[in-house]
Amino acid sequence: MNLLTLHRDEARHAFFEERSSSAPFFDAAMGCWIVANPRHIEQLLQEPSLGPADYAGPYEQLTQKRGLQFPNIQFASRHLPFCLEGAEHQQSRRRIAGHLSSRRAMVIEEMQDFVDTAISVLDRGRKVELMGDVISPLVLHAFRSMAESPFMHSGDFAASSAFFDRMLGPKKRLQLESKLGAIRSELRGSVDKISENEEGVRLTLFLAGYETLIGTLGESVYSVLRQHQAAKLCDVPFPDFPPQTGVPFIERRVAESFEFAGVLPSAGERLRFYLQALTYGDAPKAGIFGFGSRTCLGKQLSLEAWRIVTGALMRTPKRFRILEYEVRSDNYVFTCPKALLLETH
Amino acid sequence: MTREGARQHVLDAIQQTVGILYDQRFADILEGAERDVTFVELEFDSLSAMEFCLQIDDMIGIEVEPADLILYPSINTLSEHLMAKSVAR
Repeated sequence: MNLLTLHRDEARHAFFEERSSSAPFFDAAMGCWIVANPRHIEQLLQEPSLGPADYAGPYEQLTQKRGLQFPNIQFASRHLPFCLEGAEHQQSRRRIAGHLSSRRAMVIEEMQDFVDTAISVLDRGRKVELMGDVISPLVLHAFRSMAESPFMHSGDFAASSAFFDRMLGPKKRLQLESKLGAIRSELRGSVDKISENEEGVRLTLFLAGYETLIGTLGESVYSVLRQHQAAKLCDVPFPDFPPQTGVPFIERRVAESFEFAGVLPSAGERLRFYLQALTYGDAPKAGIFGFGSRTCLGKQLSLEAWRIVTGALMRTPKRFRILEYEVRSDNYVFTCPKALLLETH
Repeated sequence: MTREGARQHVLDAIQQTVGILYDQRFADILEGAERDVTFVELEFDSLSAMEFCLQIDDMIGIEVEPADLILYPSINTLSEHLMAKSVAR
């Protein structure tokens, strides 16, 4: 079993079924504990002995050993709640929550308008690529609005989520540094008198929310549609809650050794929690957005986006067939469809 | 690049990464032309994986990522991968 690509492999279904009641185990190749038991995930994510994963370590190593500089990644590390603890973590979350709250109603309205227009491709063409024609542009539109910046020059934002990819080599880390620099530059150019914290909030939205929302919407739409091939879209029973997640796992670092379910993770070791395991059977499905003090701040907006996208599909009286589905393979962190091609008639 | 040449580059990068081979057991394994050993056995962690990638890039200008050490988890499999990459260049 290759845990590097498990999250985008069909073999994951059997893996999560087998592990649904197992204790955590240490995987030497990945160098971390693997937690795939839904009850354990729920308990451990609220365990105070666990702190944030170390995303900055490899960059500090490259600076020390090669003199490479990563000022933009260091900036992100100072603002991303995933990198912070204690009071800094709480303050960062408060700033992000405040920003989301102040713009939520407007962003929801804009997403609705956007989807109402974008979904018309289903009326025009026999072949529709849902990711490229509807879902990805919708999320980009929403994030431009949330960040109050048109972002005309920063290119592919999905690449910025590589921040969380610990499998990146030095060259890709330098590319990421350059990408974050371009995003920050556009932010400063488009938001008048932006403070460091305001810039940090907006950068965080892109790093943590952009590709994850595209992935959650895409994976969830695909997982429902594949069970209803040849049905009319208006007859597909989309659930109220997205059934899949674009965030297949999250990681934490052990701050203090502790015993759990017969195993003893030591201080400094990593634990990988497979949120995908929460999408099966009677697992607590809301947990795909996390548990405890680090629950995803974008949960409500994600649910709104899901409601808007599925609502539009359910107003479409066309039959469909999935012609192509492909997941991005250029990172080892998120599960994000590259293409979801439908034929409609 | 020959198979033996690629393997020697991998061995050299390992030596640069972990210093003088600290364990005679590994030294014996690595010196046997047909013997193989995994990076897990060499106790590579994420920091040594990154250092190893830098060493390979410095030596032969081929980009290796930490993910490659999982996809090609031993000296011989990674050597084959480097050979293939050198041919593709």
